[in-house]
Amino acid sequence: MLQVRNINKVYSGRKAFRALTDLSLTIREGEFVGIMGPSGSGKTTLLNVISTIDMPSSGQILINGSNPYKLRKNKLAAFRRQQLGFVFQEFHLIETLTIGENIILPLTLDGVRVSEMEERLSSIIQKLGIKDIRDNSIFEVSRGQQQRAAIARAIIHRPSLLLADEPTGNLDSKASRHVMETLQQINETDRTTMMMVTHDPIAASYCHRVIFIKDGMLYNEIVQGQNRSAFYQKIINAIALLGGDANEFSTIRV
Amino acid sequence: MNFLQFAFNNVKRHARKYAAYFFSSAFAVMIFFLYVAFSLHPKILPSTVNEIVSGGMTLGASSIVFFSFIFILYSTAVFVQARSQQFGILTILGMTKRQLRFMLFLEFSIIGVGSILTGTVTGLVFLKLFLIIASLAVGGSSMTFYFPIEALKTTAITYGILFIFISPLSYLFIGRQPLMELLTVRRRKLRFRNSSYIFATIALCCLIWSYVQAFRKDIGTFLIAFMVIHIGLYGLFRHVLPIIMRWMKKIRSLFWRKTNLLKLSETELRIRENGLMFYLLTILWTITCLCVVVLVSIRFLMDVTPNKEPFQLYYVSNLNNPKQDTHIQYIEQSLKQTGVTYSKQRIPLLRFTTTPENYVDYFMRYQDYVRLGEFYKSPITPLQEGEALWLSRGKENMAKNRTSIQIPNHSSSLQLLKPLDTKKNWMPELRGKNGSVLVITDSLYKELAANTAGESMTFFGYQFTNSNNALTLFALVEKGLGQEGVQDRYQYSLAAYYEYLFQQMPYIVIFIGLFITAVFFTAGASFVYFKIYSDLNKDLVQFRALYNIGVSIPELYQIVKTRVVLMMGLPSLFAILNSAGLLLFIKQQDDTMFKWLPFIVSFVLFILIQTCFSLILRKRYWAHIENSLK
Repeated sequence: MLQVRNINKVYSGRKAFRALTDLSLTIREGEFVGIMGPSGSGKTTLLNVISTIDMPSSGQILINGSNPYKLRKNKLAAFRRQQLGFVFQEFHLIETLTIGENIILPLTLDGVRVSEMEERLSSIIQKLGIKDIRDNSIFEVSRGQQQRAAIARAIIHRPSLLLADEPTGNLDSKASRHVMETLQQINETDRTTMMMVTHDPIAASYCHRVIFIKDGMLYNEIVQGQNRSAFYQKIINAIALLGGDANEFSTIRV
Repeated sequence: MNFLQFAFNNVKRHARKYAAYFFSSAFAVMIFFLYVAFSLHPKILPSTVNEIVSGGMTLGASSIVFFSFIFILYSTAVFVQARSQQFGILTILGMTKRQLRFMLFLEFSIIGVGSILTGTVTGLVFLKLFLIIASLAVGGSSMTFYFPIEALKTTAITYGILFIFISPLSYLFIGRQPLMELLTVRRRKLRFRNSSYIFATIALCCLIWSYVQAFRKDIGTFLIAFMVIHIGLYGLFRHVLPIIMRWMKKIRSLFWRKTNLLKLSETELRIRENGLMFYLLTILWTITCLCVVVLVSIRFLMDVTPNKEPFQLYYVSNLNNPKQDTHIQYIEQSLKQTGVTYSKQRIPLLRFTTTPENYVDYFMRYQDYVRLGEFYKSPITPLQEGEALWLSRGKENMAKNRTSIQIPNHSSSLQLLKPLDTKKNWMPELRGKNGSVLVITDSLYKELAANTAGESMTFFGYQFTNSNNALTLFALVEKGLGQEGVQDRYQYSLAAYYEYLFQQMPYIVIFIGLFITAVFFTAGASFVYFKIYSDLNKDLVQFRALYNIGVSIPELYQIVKTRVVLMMGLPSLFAILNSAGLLLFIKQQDDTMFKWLPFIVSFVLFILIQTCFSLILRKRYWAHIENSLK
């Protein structure tokens, strides 16, 4: 599904900075992968490079077998909105639109028929439990609801890959759990491939597999067994081993 | 780092944040400086001795100061609000209120001094440029560049005081807010004030009724319409348009289509939020548009008038006028005294009231006409018996269609001819109903001279070959001969007096006009600029988000375009409608005063300028967005 081969990313500037070094990874269809690592390890850069927002300096990325970097700029926009879905830490909902309108935005940009949009919207807000706030402005709902609306927007066009950048970073633990359960549910029912960058070991414990990155290189990888809480312990251990900042070491909250 | 350095670094390193504020202040300074520099220009200064004109100049200057004060105050408020979080952090760090106030004072002083310097320097550059343009526009004597030391002083003092007053005022904007409010940049909840159908209906009725009044001739109701239209306009932006937008949003097939979703909802929000601003802009630009119309009309009039009056000064004396010789002597002496050189025409005339229209007509001999023709170096028209040549058309509109006239106590009627040279008026329109001058054959003239129904008189016309002191001369002549116009036994006209005023006035009228127009134009545009830019940082995040979820660059550009077109276009459209309505009404009242051509030219000019403004605005704004996407 997603193949990343020998990616390098160098930020040129007064002092050149190498964010990613020879990084390769593969994500299979329907997989839910978490990316973790200390601050400045290149997690977000990796996500940006995969999401075509940023260009890799060298290396190759294949999404569903095609290389998006060979596309022209406007084709790239179309590719992004048809093949990819994004969930951000800051939600990035459009202030001028209501929740419902925010969700259908990718469809309207693609010129989908109104009746179909209605249909998909009503099914998705049903599924994510945000039916009641459909016509509210985004200032009138909680952050957890905003993030779920953002998730709904990210999956309404049935993307082949959903990319999430710290989706729980701005939420309290209850809202976090709700959001993560939503993502897990989508992953299970729709078989949507997901890749999530996170700091939060609890959020990471929902993944099938967690990849650790340090200094722009692959460091470690752990796979979920049968038990989520055991997986969570493994993640905590890996973080401790990684020797990241103290703030990486969340107190056990389960 | 001492305190001064801190304040200086604050300004220097947040250059972009301060830029909008800085430039708007510098702009206000520049406009004022230019205005003062013009009014003190050595060529203009002598003609401002007139009380009314100098009053007008002062009024212009004070309105510019007032406007820039409001403008600077407004931008200060926006600017200070945008920085409230920083003030909060500084307070937490232990900055006392006094220090905060001092910091603001220092910052505003730095910006103030900077903008005064920038404003005057750019003002000097523009002064040169403007003088060139002005000389071209007015034509004739060119205005030379001078170094306006007085203007520099006035500007520096006025704006120095202004900026000193601004900083304590700016403190008022933040002074009362509790620390908590300053620190947490709470996201401003969008106010969705309700629009009411009742007010919308009332507003729409007011608006339509007012526009309809433009097509009718009743001055009283038009004046009422003049008031009522304000209700209509405000209601339009506040109630009618939001309701229309709401309806449009209900049409799913329209609203849920491509970028319409973004465009329409944003448009609705902007209209809802800025109803008052739209209304103010409309009024502002209506005035601007009318200014343009007046300026262009004056420019057109100036082209027309010089040919209109063939004699700058003439004196018509009845046969039994005892004072004729003394008057003529007095006029010529005054001419000599004021140094005006001239050529003189003396033409005997006969005056009859002719039928069927009962117009007063003046008749002159063919030989005098030939003499005039030689003088003008123009072709002369041959004349047959029973014909009369039309030298001046007369005042009445109806007289255009005259073909033949009948002189009392004379058997045959006369056919009217038009002269070959129709571009120039050879003789002025004289006093009396219509008062046109006609040429008849010498023999007929001799015959009519004996006719008792007529009066014979003598026409003395003076054509100036140099006219530097014409205004002084006119004053002198008026003093000696009494009020201009018809006396018992003589009439005289300073026909060219108004023409001269027109030639002298433009410097004043056009400059004041140009300035006020320029100020209003840019005032509106910078208002829009400020409105758009105050949200720039928030917008950048939104555009980034849109870009990330796959909105293509051209689609983003569409959104920006819609925004600028809305902000500039909507008020401009209604400004044009308003001025068109007003002009239509005036035209119905007095057909001769305004012509269509200047109207159309002015509207085109207005639209062109507004388009330029919005293009620049859009380009600058888009550059910011595009940069942030890279």
